[in-house]
Amino acid sequence: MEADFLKRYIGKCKTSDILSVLKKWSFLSSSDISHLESSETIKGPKRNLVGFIADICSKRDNFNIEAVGELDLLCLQIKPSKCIWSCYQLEESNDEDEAFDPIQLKQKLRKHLGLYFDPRSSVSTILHNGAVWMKLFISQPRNQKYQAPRSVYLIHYPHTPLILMTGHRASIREFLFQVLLNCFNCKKLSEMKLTGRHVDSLVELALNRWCQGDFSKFRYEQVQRRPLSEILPRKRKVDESEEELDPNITCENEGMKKRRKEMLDKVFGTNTQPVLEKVDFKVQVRFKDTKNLGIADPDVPITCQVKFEGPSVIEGICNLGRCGMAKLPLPPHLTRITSLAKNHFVLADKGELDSKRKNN
Amino acid sequence: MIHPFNKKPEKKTAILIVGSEGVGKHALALDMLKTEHPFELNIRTAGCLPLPAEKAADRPRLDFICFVIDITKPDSFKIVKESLQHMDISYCLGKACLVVSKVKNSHRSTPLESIHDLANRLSLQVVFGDLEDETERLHVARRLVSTLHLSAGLQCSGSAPTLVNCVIDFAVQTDIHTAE
Repeated sequence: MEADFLKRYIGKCKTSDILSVLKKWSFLSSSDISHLESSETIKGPKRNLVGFIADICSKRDNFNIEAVGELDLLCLQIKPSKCIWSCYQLEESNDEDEAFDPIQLKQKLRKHLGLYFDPRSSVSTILHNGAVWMKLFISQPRNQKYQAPRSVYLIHYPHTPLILMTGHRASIREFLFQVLLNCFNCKKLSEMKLTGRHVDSLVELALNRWCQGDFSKFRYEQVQRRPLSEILPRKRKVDESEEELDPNITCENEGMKKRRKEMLDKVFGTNTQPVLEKVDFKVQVRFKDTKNLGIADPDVPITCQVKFEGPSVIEGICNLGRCGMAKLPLPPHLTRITSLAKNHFVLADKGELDSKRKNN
Repeated sequence: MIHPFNKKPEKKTAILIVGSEGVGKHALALDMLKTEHPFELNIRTAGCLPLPAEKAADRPRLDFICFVIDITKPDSFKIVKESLQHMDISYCLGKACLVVSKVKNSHRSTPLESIHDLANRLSLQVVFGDLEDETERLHVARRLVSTLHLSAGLQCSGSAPTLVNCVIDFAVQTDIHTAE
C-alpha cells in the first residue's frame, strides 16, 4: 500500500525534479541513489522509473507511511502553489520561551492525532527555510484502497502564532483544531481571513504586517545606513518600464506622470508586491447618491460582493494607478490591503459595524 | 490657447500628438522618427489640452496638431472633443487632423457618424489606422510626416490651406451610398 502512495506522489513531480527530490529524502542511501542514476530506467518513460523506485524502497526494512509522507512534503515544496493555503493564528499560548524541538512536536502530534483519529494516521515533518512543514495523514478504517486527499498539510514558523493549512473536510475540522491546540499549548485557533496559493507572500503578509508598502524598503535594506555621509549613493531599484528616451520626443504631461509615480511609490513602495490571487470585498453600505433618490431606500443597507482576481491583485491595483485608469489618490480599502494581512474584507457603514459588535 | 502664429518659426518643425493614455502616441512618435524626413522633427505628446502652463515659454511653435481617437474607448472621443475647444481655430486650415485607431474592432463605443460629424464641422482630415499594428502605424506615421512637411510651409508646391481642399466631405460619401 505504501508503494502505491509513493508512486502517486513521485508521479506528480516532473521527471527532471525526481532525482533532486530523492537526494533530499533521507530514506534512500547514497548507494541506492547512485545505483538509480547508473541504471537505464532513468532515461526511459516516467512510469518505469517510478516503478523502479518503488521496488527499491519496498525492499528496505523501515519503509513506512511516514517516510512516504516526507517524500510527499518534499514534492510539495517544489510547487506549493498546487494547494490553496489559509492562515490561522494561535492565540493565548501557555508556552513561554521554550526552545522549539521538531522531534518533540512530531511525537506530540502523533499522540494527539491518535486520540482523535484512527491510530494508523501518521505525521511527517520536514524543516525547510526556517519553518516546519507537516503532513497529517488521516487514514480511514473502512476502505483499504488509496483514496484522494486524506492529508492535511501544515506550515508553522516556530515562536510565531502563524499556521498555514491546506483545505480539509468540514467533518474533521473540529478535531483537527483540537489536536493543534493541544500540541501547541494554546487556547484558541482563530482564522485570519488570508488565503492564497503563494506561500511566501502569505507568510510575508502575515508576519511582516508592519513592514509593508513603502516601509518594505527597510526590510530589504534599501535605505542608506549613513544618511549624512556623501560616500555611498542610494541604490534604487531600476525602473522596469523605461521608455526609449529620444531627445526629439517630449511628453507634455511629464510633471503629472512624475507626481502620480511619487504618490504610488509612497503607498506601495518600489519593491514587488506580495502575490495574492483574490481579494474579496463584501459591501454593506447604504445608498448615498443625492441625485438619483428613487433607486433605493437610503435607510436599508445594500449588500454586494466585489471580487478582484488575477495573478497578482495588488500589483494590478498599483498598475491601474500607474496607467492613469484609476483616479489617484486610491481609496484606503485598496491601499491598506497589504498592511491589514487579509484577503476577505467587509466594508460597512460605521454605525452598522458598531451595532453588530454590540449585539455579538 | 495654442495659436499657430504667436511665436517665431524655428528651424525644427514641431508636431503635437494629443490622445488619451495607452492609445499609442509614443509608438507613433518613434515610427515617425524612423521614416525619412528631409527636415528636423520635434514631436510632443500630451494627454489632453490645455497644455500645462508652466512650460509654455519653452514650447516651440506647434506647426501641426494630431488628435488620436481610440474608437473602442468612450473616454478617448470625449477627451478629444474637449481638447478641440482649447485650440485656436486657425489650426483647422490644414494644420490639424484626426487619427482614428482600431476601426476594424467590432466593439465600438463611439459611432463613426459622430467622428464624421466632427470632421465635417471643422474640415479636418481623418486618417484611419490601427496604432497597435506595426504596418498600419508606419503608414500613418509616413502620412503624418508628409502632411507636416506641407503644413509647416517647407514645400514649395503648396501650403497648409491647400490641404483643406483635399479633405473628403463625409456627408457627400453617405449621399452616394444612399443613392445606390
